[in-house]
Amino acid sequence: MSTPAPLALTGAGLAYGERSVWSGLDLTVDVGEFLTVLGPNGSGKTSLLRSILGLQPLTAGRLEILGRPARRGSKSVGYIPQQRLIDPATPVRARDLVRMGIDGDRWGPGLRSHRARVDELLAAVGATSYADVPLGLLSGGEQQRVRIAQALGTSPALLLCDEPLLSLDLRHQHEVTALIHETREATGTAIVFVTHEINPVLPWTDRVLYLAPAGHAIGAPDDVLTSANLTELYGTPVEVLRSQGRVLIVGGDEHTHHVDEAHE
Amino acid sequence: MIAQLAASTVSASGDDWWNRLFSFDDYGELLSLVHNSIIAGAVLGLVGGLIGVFVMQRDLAFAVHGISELSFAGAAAALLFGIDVVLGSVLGSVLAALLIGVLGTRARDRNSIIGVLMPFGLGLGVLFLSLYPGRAANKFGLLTGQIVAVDDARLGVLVAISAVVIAGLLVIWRPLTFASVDPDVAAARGVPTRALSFVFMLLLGLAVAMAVQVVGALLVLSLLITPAAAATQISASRLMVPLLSVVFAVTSAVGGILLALGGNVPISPYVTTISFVIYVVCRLVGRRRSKRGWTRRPRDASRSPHLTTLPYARAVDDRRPTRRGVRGWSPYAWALTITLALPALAVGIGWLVLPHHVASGQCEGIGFGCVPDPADGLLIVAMIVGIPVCLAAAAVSCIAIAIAQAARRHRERNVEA
Repeated sequence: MSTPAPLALTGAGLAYGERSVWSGLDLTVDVGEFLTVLGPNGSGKTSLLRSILGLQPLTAGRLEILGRPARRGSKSVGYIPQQRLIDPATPVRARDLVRMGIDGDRWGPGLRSHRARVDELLAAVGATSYADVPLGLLSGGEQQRVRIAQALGTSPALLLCDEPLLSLDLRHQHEVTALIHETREATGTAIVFVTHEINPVLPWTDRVLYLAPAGHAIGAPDDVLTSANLTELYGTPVEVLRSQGRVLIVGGDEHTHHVDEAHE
Repeated sequence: MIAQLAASTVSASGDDWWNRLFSFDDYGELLSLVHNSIIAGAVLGLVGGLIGVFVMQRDLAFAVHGISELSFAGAAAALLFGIDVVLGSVLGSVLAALLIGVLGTRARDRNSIIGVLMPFGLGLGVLFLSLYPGRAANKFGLLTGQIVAVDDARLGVLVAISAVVIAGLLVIWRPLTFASVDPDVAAARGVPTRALSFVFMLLLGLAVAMAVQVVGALLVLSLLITPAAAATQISASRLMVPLLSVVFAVTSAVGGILLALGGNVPISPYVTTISFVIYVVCRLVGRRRSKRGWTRRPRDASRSPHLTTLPYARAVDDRRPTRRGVRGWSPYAWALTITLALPALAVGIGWLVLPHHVASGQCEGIGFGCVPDPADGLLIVAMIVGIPVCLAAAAVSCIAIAIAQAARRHRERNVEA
């Protein structure tokens, strides 16, 4: 291995006190790979993201980004959050948000505007026409485009997407996922896409990491998403149906609501 | 100042309310007495305008009010125990700010904590004041502001505190903006959001304690919220919002002090009225702007089926070449109307409406024992205060418009190139 992988987990495990969230996780995400992380609520998807961001230390194993241990504020990791309502009165334009992605974590007033770089990023996601519009006046899909531009500010090797499709309609879901796919084609950044809804990202997904109460599975979507596999992961009968390139998972979720994240 | 207060108690007969609001017989003399206060007002405007931007971003208006009440309690305690009033109010407000910062990390939690602290602070303050045997004017001043004879020592303290607040704000400016506007991503990027919130509350406490010295505890919001709120109505630029906010706050504070010199009522009605008028004007301008849409933007850019829409967006722009705003005269017309024509009109109407005789029977005119009649008094105020302020405002706004248009031209040329 000449260049270190954007993300490598070896025997990684996380536990809150007595309760183990996941353990024995061995995973290497390669340059330009699209990894989709699936799983019911409380299966530790968010905890995994927090660990990769260096906000949540592992309790076992190693987690390396480009061959170095994960640390807080790494420039190698970009982060796209859930779409969140932003007050229309907030005096922040789309271009300001993108600029924060470039140097928002540095001290001082920040007099450099990085205009050229910001324009370039906004153009890359097709957001040039609303660069100067306050963020709160943009639609959900537009906001997520701007967020992608923001996350690309440091040219990260790894892009974390934390359910970026929530509260978007189908058309915008497709646009945003396609844009993320285009981004990795163009820049070679690896994608870790956390979602509970596989279908919008199914066309682009290289591998799936399925986190479930009774363990986890890693592999190509067709290999992981089978009735037998998920029944074993959940410990209860689960059926996977396929129709017209879409996947429907029936059962499973009802039995997992009691597993809550300890820190919530 | 004291002579004036005494005069007011003697001659407050009701029919001369106008003279209590505006009388400028010995204006020049008073001006030299309070030039320290004017400096304090300007410095406070600077601090209030800057910190107000973050107060808006972090939705802390209620917290400011709560802190100011505890600052009042601290100042009242200091008055009673005979220690420095500024020290007392700084202690009170910093304590309150830190309590709110530690206990209230979530918005709802924070508001209830403020709701608990605020009446307690006010009650304590009232207790200390009622035990205080000194002059009533001092007590009232803590709540509603006064042109205290800010002596050199106190001015030094105020300026030093302001310097600390401004320096602190400049250092944490970028990460604080990030953490205020976009907390999730900021945390993901390693910004220490909790520590920043703590430091910000500390700076806010200091700023509030300063503002209490000038406008009083009840009206701190007029310098810490209103200017920033007005600025966000008309701009979203990360440079223009703090700049405008500071200009508005300084105008309110200094203008209020200058006007208050002429009357016998406390300083705060003048300060609050100026900042309120600025807010209303900005709100009207902002409404017009948001109705028109903030920027020219192709209506269906988000609807385009394809992803990199740059060529498409440019095609839309080409089809509708919008020269408007690039080199238009209408922004100048608006600026000059608001800064020059409206005040002139107001003064003209005032001169026509106000009585042309002195109600108290004193001799008319300017000089020993004489007062100008209300209408002339208005003209004098307009000449001394209004003309310089309005001209300065007109000049500043025209320069700002010219710079904004030049920047936009520059940008569009870049896009075309």
